[in-house]
Amino acid sequence: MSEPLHNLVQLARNNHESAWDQLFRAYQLRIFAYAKNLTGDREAAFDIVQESFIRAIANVGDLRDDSRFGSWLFGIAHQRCMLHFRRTKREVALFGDEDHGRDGEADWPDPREALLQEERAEALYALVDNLPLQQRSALLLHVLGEFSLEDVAAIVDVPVGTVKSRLHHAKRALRSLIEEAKP
Amino acid sequence: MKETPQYWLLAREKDVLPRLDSIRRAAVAPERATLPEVVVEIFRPNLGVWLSLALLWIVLAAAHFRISAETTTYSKAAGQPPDLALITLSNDEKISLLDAHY
Repeated sequence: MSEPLHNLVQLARNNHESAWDQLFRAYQLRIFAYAKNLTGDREAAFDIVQESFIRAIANVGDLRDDSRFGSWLFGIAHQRCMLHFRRTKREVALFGDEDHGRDGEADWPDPREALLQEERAEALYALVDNLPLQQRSALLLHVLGEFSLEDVAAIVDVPVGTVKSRLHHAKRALRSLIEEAKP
Repeated sequence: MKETPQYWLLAREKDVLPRLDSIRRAAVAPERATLPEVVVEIFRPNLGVWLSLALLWIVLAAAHFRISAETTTYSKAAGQPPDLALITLSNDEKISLLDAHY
């Protein structure tokens, strides 16, 4: 982005088309990747991106902190993903049990480090695709959006402890899958 | 760009950028529909219903004009002077009409 985020959001609030264009351009691919990885549906991901953009323009008045535009926009996209699941009645099948296990973060393995060691993109895709939905969501937001735990919690509208738990299980599952994938 | 997990996750989606650009442009600056396009959008979804209503309206209008024409013909045939003619006569003309009658 050529201008600081704060300035762009301010301009966007005043219906400055160029500002919206720059903001969306910065996030469009990450939001698409998030929606596609979460839903597993390429066409639905396009729809989610479009709906998210339209809703963002319509509801920018709800954004209280301009510096949190990214997490706010991802929050809209996440809600559209959940709506997609409700529409397709897949959430029951996809939502596994969750929120069990510890909330501590001290001895977590860093998934980025673990995944960097793997150095095989296809393997990464398969690993991510095999994670349960809510763990996948937390991990994708953490990796794709580079959001903090607090931001991820705000996006998916759950307590921070729940996000920690989901990330912990996602990382553990990934580590297990990586171990299994090793020759 | 450093090959991070984020890079890998985004790298496989590069081919969608043109379509995302199109979606973004449409969301930011939606095309304003012209009047003919708006009219077409209103009528096209229920074209059969609109055509039926139009046909009904034409039939009713034709029936109305036909009945109206028959009423005018009947009035003229009955030899009744139009009321408007009496109203517009001057007083002298009215007196001369009365003199002629009596």
